[in-house]
Amino acid sequence: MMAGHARVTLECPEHLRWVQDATCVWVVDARSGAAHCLSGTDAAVWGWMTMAYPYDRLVELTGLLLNLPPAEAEQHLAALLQAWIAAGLLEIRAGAL
Amino acid sequence: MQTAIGDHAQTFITLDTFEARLDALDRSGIDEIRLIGGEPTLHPQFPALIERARRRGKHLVVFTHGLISERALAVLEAIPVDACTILVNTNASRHIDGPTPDEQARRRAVLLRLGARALPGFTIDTPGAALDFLLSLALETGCQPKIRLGLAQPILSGRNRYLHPKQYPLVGQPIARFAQAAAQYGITVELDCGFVRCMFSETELEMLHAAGVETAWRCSPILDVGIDGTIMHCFSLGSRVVLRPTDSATATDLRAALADQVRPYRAAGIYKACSSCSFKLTGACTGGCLSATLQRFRASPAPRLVVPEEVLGI
Repeated sequence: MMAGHARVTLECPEHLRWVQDATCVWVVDARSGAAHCLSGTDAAVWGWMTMAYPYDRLVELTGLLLNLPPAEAEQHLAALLQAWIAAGLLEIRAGAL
Repeated sequence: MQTAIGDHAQTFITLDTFEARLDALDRSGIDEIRLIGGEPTLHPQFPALIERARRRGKHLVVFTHGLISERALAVLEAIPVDACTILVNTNASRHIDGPTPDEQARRRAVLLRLGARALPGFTIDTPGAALDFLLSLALETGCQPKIRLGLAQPILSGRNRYLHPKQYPLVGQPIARFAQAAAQYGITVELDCGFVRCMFSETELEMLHAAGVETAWRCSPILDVGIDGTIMHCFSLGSRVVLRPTDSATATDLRAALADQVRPYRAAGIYKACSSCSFKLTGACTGGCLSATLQRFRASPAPRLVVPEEVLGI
């Protein structure tokens, strides 16, 4: 794991609204009107993030959920976070708040 | 399209602005004007408004609490029966505990005077709502042989008493039984917007259809026009989903624009199961009132995570 390195904070933009449905999490961008449906692992990660779980815990849970070793779980999580940043679901705040 | 001619702050539409609203209806080819409030009959120039709408040949629909002044009542009585519908909300009250005997007596007297111009309505805001009095009210006053039932919906930007969607199944059976009883007297029940398919069992649905109730599980832009000309999706969504008026837009244009504004939220419904429900996926049910759906959407707790920079390739 990469604990101990410089850190940044990822947060959900203020104009996003979300709701937990039976089979997915809907995330709506009130500015652009885009709606995102997060299901499976994506929905689980979103839920863990709303519960403010720490990064190491997310890596551990992702590994358990997908039956992946820690390094692969971390890669999977990193790819997911980068995709969410690209889609506007998360934004980078400077430094660990 | 519904036009506010007064509001709760006792601000009233001017005659010139009312004429502009009539122009907008003409432009859209709509031959009906719906007057909402506050309480529309409280408008100081209510007779003049009615006269102007009648002069344009509009069918009038007036949404009222039914506790109408003699002056306004005389104006409504003078309208031919086939030229108006006076929708009387029978459980509106100035009191938090509901209508007093005096209020109900006045409302009954008003319905008697309006006769077939009137259509009684009732907004269900509690699972234990008693509906049976509506039958005697309709039978004894000679109003239209219809009763309009609504579900009290949450006002998105305010606080009001409403029926929570979790309570919907509790009112499904009483509504079906009421519709069945009403049908025996030749009275048809009409369901307002926001009802959902799953609040009725198959048996209850059969009872509704046998009683002649048209079931459409819908929620769509009603086009409420405020006194300032702001065009709202509906009363429940209030100022949260609005358009500014233009001189050229038709009702069809406005509905489409408002539908676009709320489209992303339509993926969900009032229940967690709505977005994967076959009735919603096939368009048979919209998933209930959008205001109730929007109440489910949240900004907090916002997802938040502190990550090593390397994870993001920074």
